Amino acid sequence: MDNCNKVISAINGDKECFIQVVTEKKEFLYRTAFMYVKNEHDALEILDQTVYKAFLSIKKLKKPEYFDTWIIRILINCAIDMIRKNKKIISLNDDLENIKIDVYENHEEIIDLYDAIDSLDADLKAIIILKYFDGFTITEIGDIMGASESKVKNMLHKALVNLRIELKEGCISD
Amino acid sequence: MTDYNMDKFNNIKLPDNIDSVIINAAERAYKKRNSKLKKALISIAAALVLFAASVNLSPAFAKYVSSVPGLEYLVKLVSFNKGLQRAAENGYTQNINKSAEDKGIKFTVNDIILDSKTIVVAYTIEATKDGYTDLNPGSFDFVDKSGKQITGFTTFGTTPDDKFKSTKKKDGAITMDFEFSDNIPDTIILKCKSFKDMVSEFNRETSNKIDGNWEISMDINKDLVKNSPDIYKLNKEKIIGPIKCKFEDVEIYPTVAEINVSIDNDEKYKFIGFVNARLIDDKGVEYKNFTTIGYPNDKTLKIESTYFTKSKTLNFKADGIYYMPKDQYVILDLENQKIIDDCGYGLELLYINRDTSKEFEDEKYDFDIGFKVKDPEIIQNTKGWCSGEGIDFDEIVDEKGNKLECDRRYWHGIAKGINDKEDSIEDGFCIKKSNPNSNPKLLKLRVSYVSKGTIEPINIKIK
Repeated sequence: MDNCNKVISAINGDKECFIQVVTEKKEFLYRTAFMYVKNEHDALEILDQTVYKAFLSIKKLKKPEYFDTWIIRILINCAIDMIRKNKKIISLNDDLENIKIDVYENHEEIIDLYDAIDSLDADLKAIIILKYFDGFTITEIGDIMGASESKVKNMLHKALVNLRIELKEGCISD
Repeated sequence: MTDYNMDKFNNIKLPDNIDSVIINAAERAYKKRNSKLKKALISIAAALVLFAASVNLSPAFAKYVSSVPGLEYLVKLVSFNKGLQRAAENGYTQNINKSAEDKGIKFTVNDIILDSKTIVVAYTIEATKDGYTDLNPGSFDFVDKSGKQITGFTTFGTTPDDKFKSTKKKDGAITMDFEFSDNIPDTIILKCKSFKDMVSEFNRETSNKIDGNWEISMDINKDLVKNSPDIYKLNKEKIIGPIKCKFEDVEIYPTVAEINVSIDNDEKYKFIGFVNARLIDDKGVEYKNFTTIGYPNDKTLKIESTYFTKSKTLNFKADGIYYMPKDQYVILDLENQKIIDDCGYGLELLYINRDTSKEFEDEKYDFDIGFKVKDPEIIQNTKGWCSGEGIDFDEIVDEKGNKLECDRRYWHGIAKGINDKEDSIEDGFCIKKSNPNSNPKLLKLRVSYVSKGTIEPINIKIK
């Protein structure tokens, strides 16, 4: 059975097919979740919530080819939920101290996004992760975030500008 | 040009338990999808065991039991199910007699009934310290040695023991079918994670949850799970009212008989269930349908087993089917506190409470709404101990069409055969605080279940 048929079976309630499809995407899903929270425990919880919610609502997925964008949207929502929950206990100062950015001699051109994105707002963070780590196109990101392409481009630009500001601040505090 | 470093992303180490996290989450979601069914099963199971106290045992079984010491627990617990009685008579039992104690609660597994389809665990709960009113199983899992969950439809029931206060003891049974397990492990561990201490038997509001750890490991007698079922192919179609049913096959195990039926739902109506479905042998003995599982187009009826019946003939019979129109809505005017459209089901508003949080432990609610169902057909059908649930909804939206998150209330009217004198059923639901619209003016409730339909005899010859 190819992947598309498996997704169709999953939509029809076949639990085994659903588990297979999700397991095939586990690296992509887990790593994306990890990017948000940077620890195994929370990343697994996001994955757990994502899989749970996805199976409960899979009947709403009308086109099987959109499985990836559909499930990543659920994952991002779960990740943002988790961050909101955790925000109450993390002070801003601690957060800033933990940001470590590798700055190379030839200006800010090579950005270690892995660490730098920690300073971004949830939406901007999502866009950077989707674009540079998960490899989605601008159009797909638009689908996932429920935004137009031009809005995605604007937000991406804003995110990159913010990252550069963070980089400079990082330099100063160093 | 901005370059970026992907190594760290690609080197994020995957945890060892990632696969089990995915499987567990999917299993939980699967269970949740069937939770409505499960809720029904729990109340049916409870009702069944309440019945059990007054059911007369077959003389053969009574004699058999009196000759085997220690089986008294099973007597009480399986006397409502002829199939399970026969399975026990024919040696599909295993003595376990193990206990686990925590938080002043001693949990003992006495015996099990077991075949390749079902496990029935006869247990005793005993309070070893003061302060408990009426202990019942809370949440429990069946797992194998590696901790992997064994999934299946689970029910539990307890004997109606008003004496708990004085004896500090009660008996019950937990039943699970191996619906989703290909291999039954050599060791099955029953893991109780919590108990509920209930002040009132059917009122969840007043229950206290006691978390703890009670584990009973059971080494399975492999001879009991080797058996394969008797299978009869049917391939018979029948049209009842607007619904076409295809009876596919029958699988008969020592503990249960299962009939697989595929349903061709009409454009306007959807199938809900059979009325009084049963198997009948050549002596006219009836074997009752105690539960039905499956998807909208694919149902499995579970019926008391006829495995040990030496009958030449076997027939499936039902008195009709329940079905209802698709997309049917009950409309409730919250502002003026009245039901605008009850779809002819005789609904009467009991109360609307605002800002409640008591009933369920963790959730807060904008509204708690209760109503009565007075339709005589629904009430009659709800009273029968194998039949449905009255009326149920699967989606509630406000006047703008926004979907509202809700919890169903537990039954507090008729608890299936326990309180037969009532002429109405009380029911209700609670609207969660998490909804964007905290002040809906109108509610539309999509009806997903109602125990009404066509009464027309169905007879299918199996052998």
